[in-house]
Amino acid sequence: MKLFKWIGFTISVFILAACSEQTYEPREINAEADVCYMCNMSITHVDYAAQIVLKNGDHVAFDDLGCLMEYVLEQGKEKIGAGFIRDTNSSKWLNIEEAIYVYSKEYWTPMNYGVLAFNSQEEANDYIKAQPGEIVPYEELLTFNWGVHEHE
Amino acid sequence: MTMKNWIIATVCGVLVGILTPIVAEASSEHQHESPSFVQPKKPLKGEKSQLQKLIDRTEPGGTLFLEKRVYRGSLSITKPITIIGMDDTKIHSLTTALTVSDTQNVVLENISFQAENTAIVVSNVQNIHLKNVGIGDSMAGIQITKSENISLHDVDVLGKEGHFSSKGHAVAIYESKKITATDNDIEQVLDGFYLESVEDIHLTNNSIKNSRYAMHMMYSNHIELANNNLFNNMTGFMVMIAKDVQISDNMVAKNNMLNSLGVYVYDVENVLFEDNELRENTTAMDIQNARDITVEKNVFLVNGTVLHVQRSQELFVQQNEFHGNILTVRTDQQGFSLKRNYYDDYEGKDYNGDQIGDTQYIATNSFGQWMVRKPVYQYFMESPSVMTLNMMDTEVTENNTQVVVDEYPIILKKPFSLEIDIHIWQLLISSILLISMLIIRRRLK
Repeated sequence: MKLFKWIGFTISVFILAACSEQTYEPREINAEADVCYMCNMSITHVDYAAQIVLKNGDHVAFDDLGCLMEYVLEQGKEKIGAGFIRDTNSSKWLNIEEAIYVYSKEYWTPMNYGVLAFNSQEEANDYIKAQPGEIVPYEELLTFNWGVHEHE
Repeated sequence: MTMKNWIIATVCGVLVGILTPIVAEASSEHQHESPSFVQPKKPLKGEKSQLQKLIDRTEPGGTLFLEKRVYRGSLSITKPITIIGMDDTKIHSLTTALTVSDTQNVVLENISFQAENTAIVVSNVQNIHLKNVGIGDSMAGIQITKSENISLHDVDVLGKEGHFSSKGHAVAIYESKKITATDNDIEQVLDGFYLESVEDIHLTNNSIKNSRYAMHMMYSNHIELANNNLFNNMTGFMVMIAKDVQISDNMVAKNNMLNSLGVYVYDVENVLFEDNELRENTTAMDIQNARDITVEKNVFLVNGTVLHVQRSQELFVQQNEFHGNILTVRTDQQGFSLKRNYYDDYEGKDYNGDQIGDTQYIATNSFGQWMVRKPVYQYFMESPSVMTLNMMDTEVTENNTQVVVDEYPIILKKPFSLEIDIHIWQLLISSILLISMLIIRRRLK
């Protein structure tokens, strides 16, 4: 009887594990080896780095948020599990769909796209008080004109 | 004290006065000071350094000659001035060694800098000229912002030991115009030249080694890069988002570390790449999103892949020579134009003797296309299975429009010409000497 209980418990654990949603974790960027998938620049400024975790578990690294968004537009969302961008204040990874974005042509980023990510609306507001910029919703980034500040 | 003692004391005093090394004084009278070997006192916090006082004392437009010695401190120039050092004049600083701002007509000559931060920082300056300047053991070399008419001649920058990701650029220029850099020697830095939003760039006769990118340009227009030697960097030329670029007569070699490229152009327009030699690079040229770009009369020697092309239909590759490379072309389905090049692996014949092969040269192959998608496949290059696949390719590409081919491959190299210069006078004198020797020898017999 005890054996049956154990088997039942094990099977239910496996079933629960199989039903749970897959999680995607960002990996550390190696400044000495990683290059941006889109623009080929080495990612030496790791605080501006971004990355996508594909559904198959592969990681794709980018040196700038603009390069990540170009990848999303080019490849589509089907194969993408999750996307991550560095928080400007803490350098922690933020999910790209949850981050708050601020743009100014005066902000420096590796590809000079000028979009920074923040953990909360408050932090973004504080930042633009000190260094003027504008809040850009994530949905607008998908139609944003990434390039030589053509989006001015 | 007797008269004798007074005389001795006076003479000693005069001698001491003469022999005491002269401390540097302002010399805006356009003449060199005598060298001094006394180590100057370190300035106290908030106190102006000795050299700063000399700069302040020099009239605007004047020339300050420095001694052969080490000056310490963080200096600032905000007026037109020429500063000329001697062979061993050095400026050392625990922060930035020299800041030049909001002025014009500044000349620095014969000075070596060493700083914990960027050695020289320039902003809002019209006409600044650096000649025979050395920078060593600094976090970064020269940073210039919002300036115009900048000339760097014979500037040597030697970065610290270690991986490039922990260093700064040798020369970084932002939002500026009219840059001329010639005969500069740069080693062990992040980027040799990093130029962002700069107009009118001329970089010639420079040598850059052991760095990340030798010359890196972004958002810049009207660029001329000529006669430079770029060795053993991660990438030689990195030109991104630029217009009107001319790259000629350069040597780009041994860029063969992880992710290395000889030349990388991304999102560029109106580019002429000619008469360059690219050898021993992992990938000689990587071209992406390029419009109106011509690659001609270059020599590609012993590279892994010569051309990796993506989204660049308006690329014209013509009259180049390809020797000893593993793979000629990797491209996407858009392809590009390949015409009248010489390929050492072309096996066609030229029966009509017009120096153009009678059959086309197939530059791409299925395996090359796979490598574009998965670069890791390059480890299978030249394996028996890949060789077989390549042979099969030649049989099925006849009507395949997605394959890059050269319809007019050059079958013979340029005609060999032997130039012999005869120096008449040397020939005449040596002939006379030879005949004389023969006559003398005969007479002696």
